[in-house]
Amino acid sequence: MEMEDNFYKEDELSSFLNEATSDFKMYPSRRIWYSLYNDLHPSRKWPSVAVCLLLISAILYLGVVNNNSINKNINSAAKVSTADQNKSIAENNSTSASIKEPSDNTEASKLLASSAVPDNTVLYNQQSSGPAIEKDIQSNDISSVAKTRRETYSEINTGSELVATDSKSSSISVGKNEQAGTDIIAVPNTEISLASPNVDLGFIESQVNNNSTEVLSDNLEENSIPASPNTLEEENKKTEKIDLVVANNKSDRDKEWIDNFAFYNKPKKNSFNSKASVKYYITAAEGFRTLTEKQVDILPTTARIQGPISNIAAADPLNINDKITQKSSIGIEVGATLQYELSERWVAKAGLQYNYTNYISYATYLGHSVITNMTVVSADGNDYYQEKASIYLNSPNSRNDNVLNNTTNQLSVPIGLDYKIAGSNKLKWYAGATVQPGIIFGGNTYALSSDKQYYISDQSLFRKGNVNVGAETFLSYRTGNGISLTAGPQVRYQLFSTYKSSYNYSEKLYNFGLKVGLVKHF
Amino acid sequence: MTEELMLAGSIRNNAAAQEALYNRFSPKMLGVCYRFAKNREDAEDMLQEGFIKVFTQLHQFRNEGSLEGWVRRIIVHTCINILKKNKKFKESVDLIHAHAIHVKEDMIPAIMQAKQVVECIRLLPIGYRTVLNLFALEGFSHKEIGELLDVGESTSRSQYTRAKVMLEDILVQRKIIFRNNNNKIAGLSSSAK
Repeated sequence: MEMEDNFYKEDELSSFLNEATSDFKMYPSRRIWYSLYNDLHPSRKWPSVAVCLLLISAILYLGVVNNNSINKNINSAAKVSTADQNKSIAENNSTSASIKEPSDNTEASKLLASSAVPDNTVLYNQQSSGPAIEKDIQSNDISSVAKTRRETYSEINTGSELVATDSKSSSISVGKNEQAGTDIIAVPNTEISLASPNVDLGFIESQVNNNSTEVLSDNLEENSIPASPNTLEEENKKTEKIDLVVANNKSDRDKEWIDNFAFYNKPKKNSFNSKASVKYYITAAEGFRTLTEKQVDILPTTARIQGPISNIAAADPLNINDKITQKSSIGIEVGATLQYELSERWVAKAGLQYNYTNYISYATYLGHSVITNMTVVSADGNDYYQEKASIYLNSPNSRNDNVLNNTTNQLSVPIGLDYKIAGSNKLKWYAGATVQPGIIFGGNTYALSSDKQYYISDQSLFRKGNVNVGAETFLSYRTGNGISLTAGPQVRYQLFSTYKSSYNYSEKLYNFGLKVGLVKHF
Repeated sequence: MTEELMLAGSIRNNAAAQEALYNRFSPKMLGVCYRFAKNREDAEDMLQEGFIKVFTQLHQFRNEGSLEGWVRRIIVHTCINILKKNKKFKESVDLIHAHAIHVKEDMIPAIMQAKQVVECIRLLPIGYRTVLNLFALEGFSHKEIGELLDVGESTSRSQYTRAKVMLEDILVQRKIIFRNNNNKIAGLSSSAK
């Protein structure tokens, strides 16, 4: 045996190979050393890891602090606004009560007092500043004001024409009560909307009070309660003030704001949370492909040729798909997207998705290797994989019973939009589209040799990056616990070839599938 | 840096010494890996894994042979271990089909280089290639190869015979070698380096 080994070792070919390759060197990329260094010195990674952690912590801290600060400002603004509003309302009610105070209790003053506060305003004031009203009402013993409000209002409309309320312009125009002979106030063009969330209620109040005071100061003199000199000014203020008749022209949004801030004194909903949701989905899809043969550069230039080219066929004008046996197969995609409602109908989404694609080629297993050619230039421009060993024969006309699974594993970032076509709160119908840039990080491919006679397994042919586009339509059903279920068909198409551009065949994958998803609303 | 300093420093986990040792041996070792690997990327992975073993086992080096030989041995074993993780590798080593190989005609290479010889070796099916690399270039016996690849010694021997025939065929067709009147191989060995 030793002799035999020596015989083999001492053969000419071995000697030649040893001699020829003894000094063969290849220079590794620097990346290898860095990886090696990190493996050998894991502790040295800690400074960089620590710095990274510190940076992340700092960013998170700043984010949290800023967020809290913003929330604080919002809350305090809301509180101030609400407090101002309540105060203003209380004062207004106080004034309303005050104006009903005249001792002679004339019809005119009653009318004025009651008509100064329209339906909605009274209701609003009673709820938000009830104690103030109650106090004023009790102290001035005019508890019948509220009861008689509707009556007096109808009187105004029917006969006395004392007060005409221009509900559109929100202004007050007050005439003279001829029946009672009382001078009535007129507040010209004081257009106010209490309901507007952007209006400073304190400012409004002061404006109103100023106007009221200026106009009423003379006219209401005779109806005022005589006051002691010490409190004259305050009493005058009280008696001269009058509630505004605020037109009932609030929009739905205004009402909602009032409900949120003033009526219930609730903080407004977080707009992001109310509009954002996360969708988890899975799709089972039937995968197909289009395989085309490039018509250019089939024969490399002389300078690039290193291997035999005798079996490199020129581009065949016939459809390559007719020369192979292939079949669709089942693929899958799994992903999660963050969704955000841009408007009532539009939803933007972005996320992360894993795609597993598959289709089948049929070949004949040879049981031995055959050297064949593949016109591929490697990425570094130096190594040409023009010769490859194959054990699978492509022979559509003979027995092709060996299944070759061509698979890819892709990781992509789908970005897109959904459009609500129709639906109610519970059930909605959407159509959507996405662009999905991503990478192919694994799989298995059986590429055709240049003469189309063999299949070559070579993962290095994969193009690293690719882009898919998807279109879908689906129904979304919202359950009661903040979760929606979705289901619908989708189609996905791969824009670029699975293979590197240097390979003389181009393969584009597409699939049709059923996508089911679960949407969790924040 | 001398080999002794590199060795001593690397054992002490000194980064500079390790880098020097790596820089000295990595080009040749990548060439070794490349002969076993499917492509350059795989070869670099083998190299990296191999050097991790080199550095972690360096204290076991007894100065009984050359450091390069010791490093090479570890790298080769690493390559084989990585290859063996591939299911198809075992099948390839077991296949006996040398006579069925068809080697196409070749272009005449303008300049013969060591790399071309290596590329010719890499054209061999992986089973042939591995056995040929181990036996002819790395100095393993068929018994060792059989143990290393989990195949019989006879399988290794027949694989090598077929690999040799096939490779010779390729080299002749590529005009890298030719047989003279005495049927002796006359390689252009002087320019093969």
